[in-house]
Amino acid sequence: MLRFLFATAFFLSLSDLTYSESPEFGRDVRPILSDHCFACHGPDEEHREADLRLDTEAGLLAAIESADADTNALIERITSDDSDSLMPPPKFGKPLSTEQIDTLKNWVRSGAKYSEHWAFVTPVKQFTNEKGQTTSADAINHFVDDELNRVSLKPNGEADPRTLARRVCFDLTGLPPTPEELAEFLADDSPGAYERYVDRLLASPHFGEHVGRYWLDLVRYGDTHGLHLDNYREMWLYRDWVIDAFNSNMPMDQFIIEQLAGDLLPESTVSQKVASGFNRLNVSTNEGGSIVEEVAARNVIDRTDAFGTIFLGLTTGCSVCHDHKFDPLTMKEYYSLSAFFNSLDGNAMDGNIKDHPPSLSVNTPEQTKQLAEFDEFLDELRNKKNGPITSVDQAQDEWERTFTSIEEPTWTFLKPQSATSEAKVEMKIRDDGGVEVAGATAANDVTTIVANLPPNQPWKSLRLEALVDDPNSRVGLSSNGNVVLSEIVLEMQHGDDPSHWTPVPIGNASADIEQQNGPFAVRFAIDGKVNDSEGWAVAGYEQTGPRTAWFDLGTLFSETNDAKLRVQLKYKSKYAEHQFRLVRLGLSTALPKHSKTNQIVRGSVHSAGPFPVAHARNSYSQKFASEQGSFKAEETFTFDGRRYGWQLRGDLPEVVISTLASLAEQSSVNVIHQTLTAETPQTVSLLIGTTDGHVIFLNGKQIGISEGEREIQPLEKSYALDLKKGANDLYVKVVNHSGKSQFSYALQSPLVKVSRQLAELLNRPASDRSASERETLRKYYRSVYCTHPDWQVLIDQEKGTLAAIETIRKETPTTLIWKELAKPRKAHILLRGAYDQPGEVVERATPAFLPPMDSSLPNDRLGLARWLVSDSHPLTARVAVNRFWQQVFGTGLVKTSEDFGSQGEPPSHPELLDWLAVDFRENRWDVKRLLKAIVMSDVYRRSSMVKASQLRIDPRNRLLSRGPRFRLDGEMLRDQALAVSGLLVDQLGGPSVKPPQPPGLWEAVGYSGSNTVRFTPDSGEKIHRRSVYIFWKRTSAPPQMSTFDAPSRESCTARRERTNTPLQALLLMNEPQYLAASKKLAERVLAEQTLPNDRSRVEWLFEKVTTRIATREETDELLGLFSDMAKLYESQLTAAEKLTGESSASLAGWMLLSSTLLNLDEVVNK
Amino acid sequence: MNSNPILDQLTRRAFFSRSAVGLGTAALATLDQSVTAAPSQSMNSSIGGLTHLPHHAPKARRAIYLFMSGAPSQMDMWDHKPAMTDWFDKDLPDSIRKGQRLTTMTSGQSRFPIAPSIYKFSPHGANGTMASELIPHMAKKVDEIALVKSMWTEAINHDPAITYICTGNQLPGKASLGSWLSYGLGTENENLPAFLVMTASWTGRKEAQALYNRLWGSGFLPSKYQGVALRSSGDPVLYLSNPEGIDPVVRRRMLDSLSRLNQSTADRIGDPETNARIAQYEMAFRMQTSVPDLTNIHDEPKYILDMYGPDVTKPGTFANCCLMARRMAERGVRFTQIFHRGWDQHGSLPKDLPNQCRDTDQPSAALLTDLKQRGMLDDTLVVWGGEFGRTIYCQGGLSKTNYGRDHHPKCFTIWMAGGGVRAGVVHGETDEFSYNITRDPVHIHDLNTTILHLMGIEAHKFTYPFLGLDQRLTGVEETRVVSEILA
Repeated sequence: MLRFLFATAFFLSLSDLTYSESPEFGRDVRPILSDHCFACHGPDEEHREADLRLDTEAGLLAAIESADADTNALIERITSDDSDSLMPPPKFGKPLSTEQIDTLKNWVRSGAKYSEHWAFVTPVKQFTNEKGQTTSADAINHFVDDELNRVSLKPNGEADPRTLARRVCFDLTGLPPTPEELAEFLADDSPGAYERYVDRLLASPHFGEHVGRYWLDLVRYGDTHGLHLDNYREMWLYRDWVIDAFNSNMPMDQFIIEQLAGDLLPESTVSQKVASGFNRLNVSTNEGGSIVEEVAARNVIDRTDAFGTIFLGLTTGCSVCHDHKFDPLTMKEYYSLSAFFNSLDGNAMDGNIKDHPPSLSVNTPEQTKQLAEFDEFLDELRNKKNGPITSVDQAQDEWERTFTSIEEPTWTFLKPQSATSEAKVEMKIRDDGGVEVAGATAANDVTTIVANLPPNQPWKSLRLEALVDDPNSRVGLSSNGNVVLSEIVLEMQHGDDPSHWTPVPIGNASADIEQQNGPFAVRFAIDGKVNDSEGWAVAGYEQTGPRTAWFDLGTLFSETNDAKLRVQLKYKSKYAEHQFRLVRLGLSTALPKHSKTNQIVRGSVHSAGPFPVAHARNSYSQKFASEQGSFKAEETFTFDGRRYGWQLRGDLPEVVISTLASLAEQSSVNVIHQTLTAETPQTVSLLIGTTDGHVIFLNGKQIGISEGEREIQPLEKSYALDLKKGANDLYVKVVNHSGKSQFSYALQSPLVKVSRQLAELLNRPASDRSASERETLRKYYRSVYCTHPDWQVLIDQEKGTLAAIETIRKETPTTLIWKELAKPRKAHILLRGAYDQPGEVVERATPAFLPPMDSSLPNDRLGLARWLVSDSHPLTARVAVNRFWQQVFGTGLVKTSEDFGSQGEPPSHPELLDWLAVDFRENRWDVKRLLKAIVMSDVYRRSSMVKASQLRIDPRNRLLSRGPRFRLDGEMLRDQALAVSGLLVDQLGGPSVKPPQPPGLWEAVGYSGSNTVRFTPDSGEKIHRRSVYIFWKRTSAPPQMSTFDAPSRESCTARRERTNTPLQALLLMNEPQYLAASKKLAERVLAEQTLPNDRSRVEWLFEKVTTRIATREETDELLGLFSDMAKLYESQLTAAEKLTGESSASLAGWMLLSSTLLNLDEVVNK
Repeated sequence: MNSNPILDQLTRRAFFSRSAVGLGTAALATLDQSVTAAPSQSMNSSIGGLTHLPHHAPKARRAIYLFMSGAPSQMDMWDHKPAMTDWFDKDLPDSIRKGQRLTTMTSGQSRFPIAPSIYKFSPHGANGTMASELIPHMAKKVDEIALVKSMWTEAINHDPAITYICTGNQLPGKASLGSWLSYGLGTENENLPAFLVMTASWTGRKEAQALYNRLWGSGFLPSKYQGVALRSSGDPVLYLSNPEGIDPVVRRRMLDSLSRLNQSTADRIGDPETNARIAQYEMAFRMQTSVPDLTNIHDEPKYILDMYGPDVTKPGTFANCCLMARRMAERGVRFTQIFHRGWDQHGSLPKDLPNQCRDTDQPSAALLTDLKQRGMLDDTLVVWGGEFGRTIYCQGGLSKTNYGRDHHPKCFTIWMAGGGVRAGVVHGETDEFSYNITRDPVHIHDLNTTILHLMGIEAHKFTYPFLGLDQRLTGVEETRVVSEILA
């Protein structure tokens, strides 16, 4: 064993060994055969040479016809002088060394005893001590010391209490002990003090943060998709689930089951669904041009390999293209295993979105409560809105009366009482009511005009005329004659309270001339937004003459003579002086009627369908008819083998509820088309309500979508249609999930001629209308025309509530989860791993070399998970235990913790691994119990002093004669600096955080369209959170971590390398957060009143950072450093100020001293 | 400053302590057990690296890889297809496409109209090698390079394809070419990383394909072999600069105390890693001088700067990176890789491609000249190329003056020059559509095999055990050295 370990200290150079004693097959012989022979004489049937198989007992024994080492075939071939006969063949490039040949010879001589590969044999406990009651700690001590005895290595004694306190605190919480924790431990000199200290650490919430972090490396958790755009992927709820699971000491078997199959557990909880997101952690892509089947196949392979690495400790990936060359996993078995992971009910392409379905929104309890309240309030509001409202219904009667008599409106000019300029420009009111700018124009201005509102008339529209005195003049004051009206605001004062102005909403606006080269339509002047790049622009530089705009007011009514209207014209464009010179306002009781050329003409309505679909929810993205193309009435479509054509529909009038064809017991899709012809580009609103989901397309572009079924709300939704000049194709795809497919719609704009059907309906006396007609007409009036204040209040309340809900929704975290297709996908062998070369169909099955899955288990991921944790499974517990061991001791009992197969390294202490694995399983897979046993063992508590003899015999400490000592991970280093300085914010969980990193790292690699192309650091407390919460962009991992060997989290990582590089030194010396920690330490030592002198300050700092008491020499050295620095900075106070922000030589000196401490080898090490 | 007695004292101490540095360096070489110090019989002065490498005497001691990310259009630059003029807007024959899979960006197109290159080609050099007007500077270099027109790959989209050519596998997790070289051959300058990467700015299509740290990552190899990104703004190497208020004298004084304290730890505990750490801090201190020295191009004479073109003084431009690459080569950096983005011309190729060529053409040629003038081209390998090629047929709208091209894995053009490369050779041919290779196909694994070969490494023997396999840069299948282009 000794020689073996000595050899493994150098990378896998087992070949350097000679064995005088008889070699053991599993430990000494199989690794040679595996590495040098199995590639051609192993499990891979396809490439097996000479029908010779050396990985099975029968095959191997056949190759050793006699036990005579010098004559049997195996030995003959490996020692042959004839290069044609020599094995392995020279061109294979992996010759056996003399020592290896000797090992094989010795093994044959000593009887050629065969054994199965150790890892595939169910482990058993093979030790009880005299007491009969063996604890795991006893077993650890026994097996380790046994081995040390055998090689005559003397173990170290126990480490001193401070060292031990720091070590175990790091191992259980990832942090150094706080001064209080340390003091409590040191003050307790009764028996069991250490155990109590350990128990306190195990109970700390930092336990889960630390232990969970190793799991996050293993399962490749990250905050981005990982491929191509590498956009944000929201997954931190899963991360918090892992931390919680470790903190609550969830048994490992349950931990495994919930992650692999949380979604399949009966009545699975939200938490279990979150856990099932484990299966979604693979990198994903949405790269343009990708072939979906190829991406899907890759995702499945990634998940299968992750399963192999994480739970089996096997390199299944080899079997993607051929039977495994070293382990008995056939290609067919590989694809049978992968069949457990191929039936995600979601798209393989991630859509570049954070919540690539299936995903789950998880509200906090507070959010859930708020949402329920809002929902209730909304229900009330909607009932009110749908029911009779006396005042509003009266206004509707008035509207209906006047509606039929649309004539050319007559305009009543407003007589302004005042006209003022915000910029104090002189204004003049002309006799005809016109308001003129009389003084020098300001760059920006607001004109406010106040006029009496003529009483007792239902005013419906306001006209704004921008006038010129001469038809060849331009309307604007600017040098080019142009104008941008950023916003028009109307308010009314009822005359009772002169200081109270009520806003008058403008329903719609139209204008005779609008610029088309930007957001310059008149609607941008009523959009509630005032900014310098939008508004009504009038092309004054192109065309002389006046301009007119009309604004739809609903109904504005006053019974008194004292009511006033206030009109504000806001000119806030970035273009200076873009203001009207002369404006005049008028009111009318009729809706504006425009010249025919300005009106929008509706074409006939056509429909196609119903198209039968299997899943309604897939139809939103599926294409039907020509929904995104141009319309041809005679076009036909083949769908599911049937032909469909457009049908002319005279029976789908506006406003009222119509019923579309649907299919019994099957979802279906109808597509409706109408051509809207506009003489000028303009915007109108489409109001629509459906019992179903719908998608709106205008001119080939999707402009709106509403998913899922609902009760019909006539004209419920409003979509803005930006019509271009000429014919516009409007398509509505109605997705019927089930039941009746009902539908109502209307176009809203003064420029849309009222439809024939509507005019007819309005002409009919109310008593002749059906209940449904009455209801929808009310809806139409309220949605399109009503601006009555009582109605407006309801609308405002609804909008406000919806906004509040939306805010919560936006804050609600989502996480990717697994959802299984109702019917699993067929799985094939993929020839050579190619997605487009499917071979034989395979069923879900576990590999034959492992114990069979109990027939009572379901043949799905849940069954697979339960199979993993079954008593007879040889790998799961061993693999898990080994990783916890690796966490603590730096190297696993099996060094290759990702590979327990025949190419992996055999365990250093096989009986111990087996003992711990069985014990772990027998004790409910209790993780805290296992870790406690490890840290309670003498082996763990040993001093880490290195004697020359130890270094010579066992340089890598695989035999554990000394305690673990190795460099801390990047996370632990950063957390330590924050913790000892007092900067650490130890809040648990939540969205990932972005402490500062050097600028430009993401930009240097990111796709310009990615939402993680620019790094913006967080501020405040977030930057001082623990490192486990740092945002992990997989194509550019945080440098503070990756410099210290943290993986990119693109693929599963069972263990990190531990390198020692100059870049690490630079980081620890110069990274801003380490400097901030140093500064904080300096400030604290200076604020510490109890410290009488610099010596005591050095001692205080030293203990804070190292946990240890400084020696006299150390204190002297540091004092010397401080005094040199203080002297230097005294003479260069500006440098001190640059460093610390304060002109203090002493602060700079202490800061530098603290930084030195944070760079000490013993601080960087465990 | 010298009038300050404290500073004088500190400087003297710093000077004194520097003499102890040598010890640290020696410690580094002997104590790091996963690698061993370069054998004294080695032909060069490598530090680190594997004892049994190189496998044979290398032709190139260092390499510079000019990576054109996004896939340059071969038929608009190098692969001249005059017959295409008559094929304008005609469909690519099925007999040529042979049902080959397409990206989903053009698989929905109803037809595949041919877009002949609008650029003029003319013969250059002793053999009349054709090159387009877009690359006038490189055209003059055809007698110094080996042009390979028959490169191919399997991957059809950027992320997998660039990961494939840079790390030997389409999926993340493998080690990059540079990290393999760094692992195998070590460094020739202990004050600089063995593998440096630069990401250059570009002027073509702004919507450029992403890069990924994995392209220069170390995958399963220890992370110290990963490429160190040399940045054009801020610290050239992460955290290289001391913070404001700490000058080299202060840093030196701090390191003196740190070394002494760490030495006492080493004495007390006896962990060899502590000595290694002392050495790494000393190396960090030296890098604080050596890296700025590397990136400071003010000492370059004007005629050199002029050769690289007007952009050379702008940090981060391709021209600037090329000059930097030469300075790295001079200082013994084993492998330098420059990633230039923006070559993904799906549409408006005539608008963007000239800009991309202007970015790269003159600096690439200047790099060859510059190396040659210094006698370094003989043992410096220069490689130019992208991750795949582009289609002869048009993506999107086609006119006489405007077109776009989709991804095309079945053929593309790269060139190599310098150490061990046969100058003036054109290797491989494609059909008249630049669609299929008709002679001497070269797989990207063969390219990497050839690069390793020139650096003294036999690809099939260069392995690292991971996940139970002997991992190779060039995969499990047999690959070949493209001996036809070797000198």
